[in-house]
Amino acid sequence: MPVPERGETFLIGPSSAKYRHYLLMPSLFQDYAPESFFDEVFSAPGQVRPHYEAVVQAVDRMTPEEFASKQLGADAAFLKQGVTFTVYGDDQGTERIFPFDLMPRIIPSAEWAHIEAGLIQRITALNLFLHDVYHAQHIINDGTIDRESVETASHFRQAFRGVKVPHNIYVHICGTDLVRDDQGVYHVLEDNGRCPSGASYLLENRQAMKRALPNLLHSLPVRPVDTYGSLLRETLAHLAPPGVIDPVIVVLTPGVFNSAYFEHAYLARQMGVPIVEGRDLIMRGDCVFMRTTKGLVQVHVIYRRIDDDFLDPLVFREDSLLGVPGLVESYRKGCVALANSIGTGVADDKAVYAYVPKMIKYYLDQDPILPNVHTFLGTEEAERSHIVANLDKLVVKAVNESGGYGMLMGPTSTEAERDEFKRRILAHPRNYIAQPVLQLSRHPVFMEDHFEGRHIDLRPYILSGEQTKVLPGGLTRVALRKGSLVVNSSQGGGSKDTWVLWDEEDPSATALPNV
Amino acid sequence: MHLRIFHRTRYVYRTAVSQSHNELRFRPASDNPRRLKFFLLKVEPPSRLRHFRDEHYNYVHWFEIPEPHHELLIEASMVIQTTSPYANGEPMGILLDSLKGGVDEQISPFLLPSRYVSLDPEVWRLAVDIRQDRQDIFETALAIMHHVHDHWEYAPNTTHAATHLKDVMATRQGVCQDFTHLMIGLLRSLGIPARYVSGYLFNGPGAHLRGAQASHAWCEVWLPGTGWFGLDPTNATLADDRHVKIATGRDYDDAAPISGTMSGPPNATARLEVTVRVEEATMD
Repeated sequence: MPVPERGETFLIGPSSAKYRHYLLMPSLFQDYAPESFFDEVFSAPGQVRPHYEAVVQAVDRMTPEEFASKQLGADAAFLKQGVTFTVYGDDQGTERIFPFDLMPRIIPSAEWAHIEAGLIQRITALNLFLHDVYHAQHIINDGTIDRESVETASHFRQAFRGVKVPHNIYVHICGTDLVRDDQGVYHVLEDNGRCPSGASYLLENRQAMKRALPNLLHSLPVRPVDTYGSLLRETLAHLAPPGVIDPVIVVLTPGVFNSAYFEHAYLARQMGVPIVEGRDLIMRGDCVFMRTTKGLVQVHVIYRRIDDDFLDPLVFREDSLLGVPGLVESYRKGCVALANSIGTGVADDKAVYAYVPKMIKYYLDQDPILPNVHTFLGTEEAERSHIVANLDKLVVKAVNESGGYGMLMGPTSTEAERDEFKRRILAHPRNYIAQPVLQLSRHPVFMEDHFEGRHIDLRPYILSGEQTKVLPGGLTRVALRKGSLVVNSSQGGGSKDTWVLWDEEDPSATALPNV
Repeated sequence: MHLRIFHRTRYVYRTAVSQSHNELRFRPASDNPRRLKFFLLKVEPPSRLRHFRDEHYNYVHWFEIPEPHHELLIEASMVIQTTSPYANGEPMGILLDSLKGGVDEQISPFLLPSRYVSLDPEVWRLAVDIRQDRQDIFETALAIMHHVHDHWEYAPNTTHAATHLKDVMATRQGVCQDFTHLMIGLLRSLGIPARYVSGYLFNGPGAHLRGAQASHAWCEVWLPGTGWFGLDPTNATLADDRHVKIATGRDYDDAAPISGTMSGPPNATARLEVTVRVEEATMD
């Protein structure tokens, strides 16, 4: 194939004479092909979307060697600072750096306003749903959602019905995974309402960008993300029992061997609060105390990064050594607050997910702003037959797993894997759902000396305290393997810094209530 | 102007109440998505939220909570773009004579007495005195607005949601709702159609407008062939882009943000907390 004449068919950005000059130099995007996917940067070969023009020009001014050296510098910084995570079931050493790609993902203000409105709407409905299913259960009694779907969710805590939680907020910190389809439409892939991780990477990615490409970052109206620590602290402080003016907040971690320990420590430091393990906490009466070098200190709010199952051996798994015996009773009595609350997993169960649009309609009398991905339920006979008959075309997910575990990618699966899933689905239909394979949007990712398209998603973080706020940014995850659609860090994904722009012309486009 | 509004109302009951049935007028009747950029209404305890349009085309959400509950929370948030209907100046030049031939059935309810606005002789007497020999409708309305503002005392907590125009006439004090009822009564006494508007008021930096701390109310006057124009007697100002119109009606009874019934002992409401924030939507 003949190489196109630069400046003609391969035209990037404004066609000013000055810019043409750059195009005559070797280009990092020279052979970049958006192919048939929705590409975040290029609307067509050589056609840069307006909000990416400045970045593409700046990157294109660099030689591959220059860009590679900046990329290496960023990687080294991540390793040096210990920005790592652990992969379970992998024996290549426990800790890895989370691969970082230097070219930022950019979201224009109007697009962000849409995302933000959709997320606020969704998390509001999810919190109302949790309140409802743990109290009067109107949505079930009205027949809008069937009882079985809710009460058979493995994270539904029957014992927690009727317990009043502070301000009726169940999910205080939510990380919702969004993907764009081949038309660029944002869909919600899943809600993570238990212990969503990744916020620390988001913050570190921005730091890495500030060091690697400072001028570029400041040349655009990028909204800051470094408010996360104070927003998180504010969200947690809001939960303190009535009358406590200056609450003691702690981060409860399972310990240094947990895959997200870096993040637990990082967020505690960002908020300026202690990080504790279960053994550091002790019950006195109905209250929770922390052992310190100066004696016992009462704890009012616990940002727990331990799953429900391990939280309190008296209530959940009795073999858990990570939790605090009596903690749940103290929470019930309102002496200590937990974030997130207990039993929130019923809202991010993948079978319950299918009902979120109905929840939005039911509690808020609105249509969803961000659509779901079409979901086939294992429990519905017709849908189950469809799943089993089309395993090679669908993505099958175990309803209670996260992090990309327990998943079948139909088109790339082997016959044996499909047979295995068929057997499992028929044996435990409630445990599986299936979705069509979405052709996720792609973004240029730097590969040694040039850019290639890789699939991405977006995990924004929503904080529900006195008000619901969405951090203007998010963790853009990248499926680094060519053609792969799996972006989870535990499955070999990487990440990018996410730049949400603001629009001085139309401030309402980026300024929702409560933000 | 782009405004963001947050309005939270929380009822705390002395004992459990039940069978609560409520109607909410929080969504602007004009909800064109190009103007209303965001809207969310949340009710706790959670229940099914539904809506209808009432006879004034107000957007009415309604819900029922049959089970016993100790608290009720209603929270609305929105981002809305407002424009001033006075961009081309004040609509002068339409004379009272143009109302002589009568008005159509859409407008006629706004000439009649309503629940909180009776057209008693002393209201009429005052209206005639204020009007003097003015012939222009809008000019007359402005004179009435200034008279109400200048001769009635703005006094929070002296009146309540159900205060009637008769009491406002007698005590010569009140809040925005009372000022508005008075102005409506004066206008209707002269045969000028007038309606009640419930909404919000943006108190800009350095401004000291009354009624911006809670939901606000003002009055609209109908000009034949031109339409409705808002006047704010509480602040003696035209209702412009600082005013966010939510619902309209003959008086407070038609446009109240929250109305409803529940089953419980007398004086069941121990505490009522209201938070209203109206801010210009700029970047923090």
